[in-house]
Amino acid sequence: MIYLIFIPIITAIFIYLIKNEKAIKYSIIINFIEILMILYLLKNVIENGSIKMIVGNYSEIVGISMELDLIGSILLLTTAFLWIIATLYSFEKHGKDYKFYFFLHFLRGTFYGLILSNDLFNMFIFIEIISLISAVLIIYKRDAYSLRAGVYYLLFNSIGMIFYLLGIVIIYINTGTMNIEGLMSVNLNGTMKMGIALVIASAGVKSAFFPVYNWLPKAHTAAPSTISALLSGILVKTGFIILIKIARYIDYNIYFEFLTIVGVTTAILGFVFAMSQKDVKSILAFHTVSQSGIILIGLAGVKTLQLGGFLHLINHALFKSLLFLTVGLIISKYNIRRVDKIRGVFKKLPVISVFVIIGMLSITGFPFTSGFVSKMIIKNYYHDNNLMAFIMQILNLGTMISFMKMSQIFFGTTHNKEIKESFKENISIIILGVITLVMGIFEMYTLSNYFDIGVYVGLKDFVVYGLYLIISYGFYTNFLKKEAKIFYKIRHTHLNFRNANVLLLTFVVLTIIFI
Amino acid sequence: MISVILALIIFIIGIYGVLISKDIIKSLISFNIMQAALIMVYMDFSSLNKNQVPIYAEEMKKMADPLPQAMMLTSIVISASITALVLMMSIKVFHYFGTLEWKKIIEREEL
Repeated sequence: MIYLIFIPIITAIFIYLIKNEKAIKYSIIINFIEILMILYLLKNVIENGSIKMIVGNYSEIVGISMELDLIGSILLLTTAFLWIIATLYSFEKHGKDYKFYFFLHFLRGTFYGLILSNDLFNMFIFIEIISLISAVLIIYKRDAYSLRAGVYYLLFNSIGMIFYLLGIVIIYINTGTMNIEGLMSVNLNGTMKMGIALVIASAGVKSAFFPVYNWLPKAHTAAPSTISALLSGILVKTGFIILIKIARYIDYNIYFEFLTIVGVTTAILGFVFAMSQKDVKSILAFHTVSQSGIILIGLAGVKTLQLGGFLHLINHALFKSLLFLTVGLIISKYNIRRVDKIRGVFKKLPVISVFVIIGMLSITGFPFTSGFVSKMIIKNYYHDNNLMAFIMQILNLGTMISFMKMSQIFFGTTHNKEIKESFKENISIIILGVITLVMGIFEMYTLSNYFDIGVYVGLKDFVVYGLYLIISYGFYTNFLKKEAKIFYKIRHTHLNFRNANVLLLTFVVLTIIFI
Repeated sequence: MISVILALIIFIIGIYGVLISKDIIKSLISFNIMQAALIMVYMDFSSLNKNQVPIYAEEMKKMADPLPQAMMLTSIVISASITALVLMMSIKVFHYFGTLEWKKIIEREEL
């Protein structure tokens, strides 16, 4: 199990030392070996239950403990798979740059470490290394815009993680160990709750919950497309991983209501901001915020609700990286990023646009796609609660409206004759797109056979989807096309670093009060 | 106890600095102040009641907890590397924008 962390890191160091183009190409074999290892571990986990180990054979109290359960192994598999896609995708663009691949492989190793570790301080170390390396990758283009986003990202996240350190010192004083299982043994009194609240607040910073989401759109729009796909697919989930890990040992009632409210506000504000953007990538970035809110609504609970949230996390990783990669290709062909300037994609790039449409269908929850399954589980949980059911419908509609705006890039004509697509570039997207498409049916099959949760598709779902399409088209032509004043204002609101920190502190204080 | 109060004061100074500082370097310094306060907290509770350092002593009565000290070594390394990276990036930011003030950097939107 521990080799999984070291293999990518050692590969990264070798690539840095060899500096050879061929070595970079062959390094993808290591990714496949890792997938095989993870599949072997997954088989073990399914047969014998979770695997535990302690590095260096110390006692459980002081040693660095590691644990791999079913959730962890599925996360590992998704990470490894998306990394293969990203590596394949970036061969065309950055194939000669050994430094890029050094950081890419290193990042994967640290992320495996985060998923595996079961120790609060060890998780802190891995999270900090992840933010450091992803900051380096965000500023990869080295232009003014990306440098600004990189500084903002790194400083804001580091300040967020200070609250994590403060939280775990409170937990350590109370439990006497950094092992997460120590949380189980103590009763939740005032100070202990404060520690947990601080940990959850810093998880919020990493996963871009409502008041502290501001670093995310900046970082995603500035980074190269490969990195934005990995950022919003995998690295934004860091906070959710912390939440899943501590939720196993503490009573979820202490944070359930607070996190549900935060999730709803994050989801709604995410798509409101997404509607008003003009940059294709920042539409997608704000959608990551919106979808994080939906994931949070799921992960705030337990059992079925948590399962729905977790599934949405995995599905979001797949379809959002698909969208980012395809849109990245379109941007690099057209050399424009404005959504109202790109036209005629469907005629020029038919294969790519098919996969963009697959991603859009998944994110808006077309029946039989993966997004539909996970949203349906969350919806079904709230079927008695009228308010939450209504909010879920609003979220669906909002997502559809903003994608209606983005889908305008398919129509129209362009006079640029140089735009052509090649199979070599498309291969990674084709693999990812097919998996995303199959995922929904696979999930429905597994859920009904192994978890006794039936997700059924009726005629009603198609009708509702169609109606939403019509409503969102009406909304688009009436408000978004002419650009109502309020959207202009929303697009031009910028939070500078000081205001963002005021919001961060408010969020931390609110978390402490309400947990 | 007195060192906890001192750490709290330093931490509040750090937060205040983060909230009011107008440019990158000042924000970075405030971040480091907050980190220093946290290191003090960790050091303090690991050696409550004048416990001894567990290195070598003729007679050991009460041992200080060595785990937080090891942790803080790691976190010092991390904060040092963050500082280094932010300083490097701020040189480049200055090169592009001619200023390090957050407000002016954010205002110059080129997209």
